[in-house]
Amino acid sequence: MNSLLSVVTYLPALAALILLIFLRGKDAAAHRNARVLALVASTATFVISLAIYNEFELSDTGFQMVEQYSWPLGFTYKVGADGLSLFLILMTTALMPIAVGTSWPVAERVKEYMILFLMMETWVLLALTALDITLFFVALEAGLITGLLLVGGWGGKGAMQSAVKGWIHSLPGTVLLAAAFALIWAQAGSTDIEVLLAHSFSTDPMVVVGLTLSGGMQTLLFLALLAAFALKMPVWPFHGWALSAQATASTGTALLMAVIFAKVGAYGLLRFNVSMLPVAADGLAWLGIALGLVTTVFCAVAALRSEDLRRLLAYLSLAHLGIILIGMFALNRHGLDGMLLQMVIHGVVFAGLFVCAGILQDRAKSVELDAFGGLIERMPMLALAFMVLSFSALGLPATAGFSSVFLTLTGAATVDVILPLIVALSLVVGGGALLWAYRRIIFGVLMKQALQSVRDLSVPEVLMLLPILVIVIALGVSPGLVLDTTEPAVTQLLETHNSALEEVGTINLTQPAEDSSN
Amino acid sequence: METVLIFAPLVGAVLCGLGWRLVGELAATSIAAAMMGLAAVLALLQLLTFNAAESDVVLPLLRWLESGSLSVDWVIRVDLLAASVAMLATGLAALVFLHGFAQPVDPDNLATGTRARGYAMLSLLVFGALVMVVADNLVQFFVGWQLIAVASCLGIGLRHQTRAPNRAGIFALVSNGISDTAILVALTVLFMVTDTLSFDQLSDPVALADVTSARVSVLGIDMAALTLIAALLVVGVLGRSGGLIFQTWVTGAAEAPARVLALVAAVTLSSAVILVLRISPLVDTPTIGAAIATAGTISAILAMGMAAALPPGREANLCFSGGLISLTLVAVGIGAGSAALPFLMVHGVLAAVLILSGRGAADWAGRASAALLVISTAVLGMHLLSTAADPLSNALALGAMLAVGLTAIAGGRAFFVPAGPDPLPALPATLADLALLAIGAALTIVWALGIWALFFAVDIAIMTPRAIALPLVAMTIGIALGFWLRRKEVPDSGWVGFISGGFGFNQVVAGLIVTPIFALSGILSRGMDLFWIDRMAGRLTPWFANADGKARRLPRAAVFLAVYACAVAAVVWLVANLGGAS
Repeated sequence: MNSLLSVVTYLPALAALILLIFLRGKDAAAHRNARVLALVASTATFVISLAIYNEFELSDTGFQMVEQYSWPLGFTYKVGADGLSLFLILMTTALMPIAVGTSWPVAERVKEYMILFLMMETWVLLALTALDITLFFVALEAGLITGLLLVGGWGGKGAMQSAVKGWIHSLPGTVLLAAAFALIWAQAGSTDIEVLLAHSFSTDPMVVVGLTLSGGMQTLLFLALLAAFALKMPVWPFHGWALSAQATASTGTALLMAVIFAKVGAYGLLRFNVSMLPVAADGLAWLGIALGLVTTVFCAVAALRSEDLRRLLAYLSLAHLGIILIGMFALNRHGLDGMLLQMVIHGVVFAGLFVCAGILQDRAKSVELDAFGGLIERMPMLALAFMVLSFSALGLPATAGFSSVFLTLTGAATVDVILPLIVALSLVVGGGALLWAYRRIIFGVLMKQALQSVRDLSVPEVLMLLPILVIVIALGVSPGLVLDTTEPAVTQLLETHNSALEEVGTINLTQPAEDSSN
Repeated sequence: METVLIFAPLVGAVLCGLGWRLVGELAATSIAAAMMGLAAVLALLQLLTFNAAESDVVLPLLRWLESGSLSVDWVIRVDLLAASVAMLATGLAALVFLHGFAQPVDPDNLATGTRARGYAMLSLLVFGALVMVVADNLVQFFVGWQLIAVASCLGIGLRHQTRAPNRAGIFALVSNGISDTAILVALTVLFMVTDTLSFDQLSDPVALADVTSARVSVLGIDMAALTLIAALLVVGVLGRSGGLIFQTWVTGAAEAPARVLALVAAVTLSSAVILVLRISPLVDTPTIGAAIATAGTISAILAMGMAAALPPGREANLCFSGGLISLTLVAVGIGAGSAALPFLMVHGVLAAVLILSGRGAADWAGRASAALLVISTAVLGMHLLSTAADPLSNALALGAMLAVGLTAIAGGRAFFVPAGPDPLPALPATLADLALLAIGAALTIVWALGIWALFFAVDIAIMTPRAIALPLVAMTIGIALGFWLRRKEVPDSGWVGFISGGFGFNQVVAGLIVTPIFALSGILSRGMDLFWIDRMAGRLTPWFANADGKARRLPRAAVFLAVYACAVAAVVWLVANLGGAS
């Protein structure tokens, strides 16, 4: 049995364990050792994860590198990867060393911080590779709790309140997810995701609290899972906690939560709502699209009002998550391709933007836009990197953002032409906010006394930003690097989806149940 | 040769923009100018050796986007239009660079490094024009199109230390972004109805027939795809050329250094015409052609009027230039694309010369040049009038000619609006429908403003009930009217269909019920944050943090975690058993 996925998943946890047991002391040397070990472990994880890509068979549409063990109390450990998860795994391992690098300025309880950071990587990788719903649930919840501990424990003013608020907000999601998974188990008699994907959940009308529900169990599960993952990602109107968490957390944690952890929620929607419940997904796609659309528009417009760079980036990041939802629930080839590409590109681009924000915060000791101005004179390299990343976030040409946005819009147009129009205009509005912030930070005359002697990017900072910029340009010029890998999985997903619809028939969830059952 | 021609300006841009600190500003700008000179020489050779009788030169460069039936590659395809525009862009840019070296004193008094960055931006602008014009598909064309906008806007804001150019640059980028959005959506609609974005395939009669007959859904309303594409193209093209409401970014561009401005006028504004020339088979359809010709005519009138009214200077020059571009759009719109190309070349040179020499359209030299152009235009117009069989085209051509004559020669204001049937027949059938739609739209705008005020202008905690209720009522009435209008076209779509179908309400009632709920959910979520979640979080925070906000050690939090885990487990157990029972 190939254990590559487990090695990649647990290598960060092993490093965390080493830190926990062997690292002693609270002096500068201990802090340095904690940082270095975390960096080495996350970099090694990334290097080893490249072997997953190497071993991955593009023509195989099923799960690969599957590992399965029976655990006590009837639990099963089963992991594997397919075309839908492969690039998310690679994105996570690739961005973690950068996130660790961004966390370098953390000066308090560095050992504990790095332990949680490494554990977070393990939880995210476990959620992305889990082929058992119990394992997925545990990994997702543990990841969320770890992330919130990082927010609360090492954030700025109000961070602890943000973390607790996040916890309260996501609690209904946890309950709904647990309830949905329990129902799935009760209905299908298995927790194995491979089995569940082949299982046909009932679409017979059912009565819930006196109301007849068209689409039956599929509709019920779809709604519960949609709400759960919408709370975890999060999307409008559940986004408040994520904004305050990302605005108050340390830069590394904000990057982790906004860029990496949010994708687990989106991945959950793709894996469960779209793949496992095709009939309900088809009938209720409009709900997912509506959520995505409102998130995109609201967050793009709200970004205009941000006077704080981190909050602005958080808003824009959420707006892009909305685009991912729209592409996903367009339920066609272009939408799904665009959405998968967007998941990877969102990760890379916003990681870069958060790194830039971290560097600016390190120099000016503030993220308020008024604290900057005229930095192009002192920091031309940062200005260039920030500009390329901003253009990519806007979806401007020859950068990675363009291909994904174009494909998603093309997919959305088949649903209704108004969708690409509103999404594209929202991108202009959000992009306008980002460019306006860019202008205030980078252009103008360098007036602030505190910035008169700031230095441009250091070598480690260049090493963090350079790979991101290379990926942004490379994926802009040749998005086939990702699309070629995801293509068989998307084809398989669409074939399964269409055959399920042919078998059961499209259920009109907007009609009374009596009609649909005829 | 073609590859070197395309990429030489990019190499110049990168070396000059990134390397000037290393090699010095003079050396860096010399490199950029040399690269542009090389590209210009190659473009000239290309044009001189171009043989229209032979098939176009096509060089595939790289696989790009493949998704289902969408397959576009990076390609260099050289035809007459590509060769001509390459000559125009590289030749003008090379001359502009030379002009910079010839001037002993910089008239714009640029700060150190600004000239190098400016040359880099101009090289990037030319590269964008080349990428655009050698494309064999609309996606690559759009990439070049946007690259031109980005480089132009960065060039406009080059003197970033001063507030006005800084703002003008960003404003131009956002303004172009809006019009580019229209083009992008037009592309998606075009792909949806033809399944291709290749220029060759779009010229195919079958694809054109698809476009002509296709219908699309916009907010559930069924409409002709061609009408929608025409409307989107008009917005995109006018946005780029500074027509109608988009002229603000063009006049704002007057803040740019003269050399940047010359290329913005000659290349950036012209790209609108290049787009309509490239998709001429589509523009030849009556709906799109008439839409572009009409919009071009009205824009020309407005722009020329402004040029005449403004004092001599850069702004007047730019308006004049925009007016000429609009006029060229009219020519393409009425099917005279081949006549438009030389006109475009003349305009490019004239605009650059006018701006670089600092002469306005209203002074003597400017008027003489303008008069020459107007005479040329009149000749062109007469030619069109004699060959166009369509009465609408005749009327538009005549309108355009009269507009130019009135504004550019006499310097007066133009009042002529072309007659003819409305080319965009997308309005509701009866006057009552139209009135209701107008009321609905107005009320929806009130709602939008109300929501804006609700979320951004006023703190929600001090909002009065009336302040919340008014926009909601307005929105409800507006949307209900909207639904009533389209009640026959969309029986069961979206959330309203779900509610109305599921609970037996009619569409209007469903709209009345759902819309406020939808809006209120946002307010409630914010209210929950403010009044409940925040309080809960405040009470729970001491479990995790000390009084000074620092994180506590584990024990108290561990109790909370244990309770939390038990609660989740209990829910799982309960649901599993209930689910099993069902």
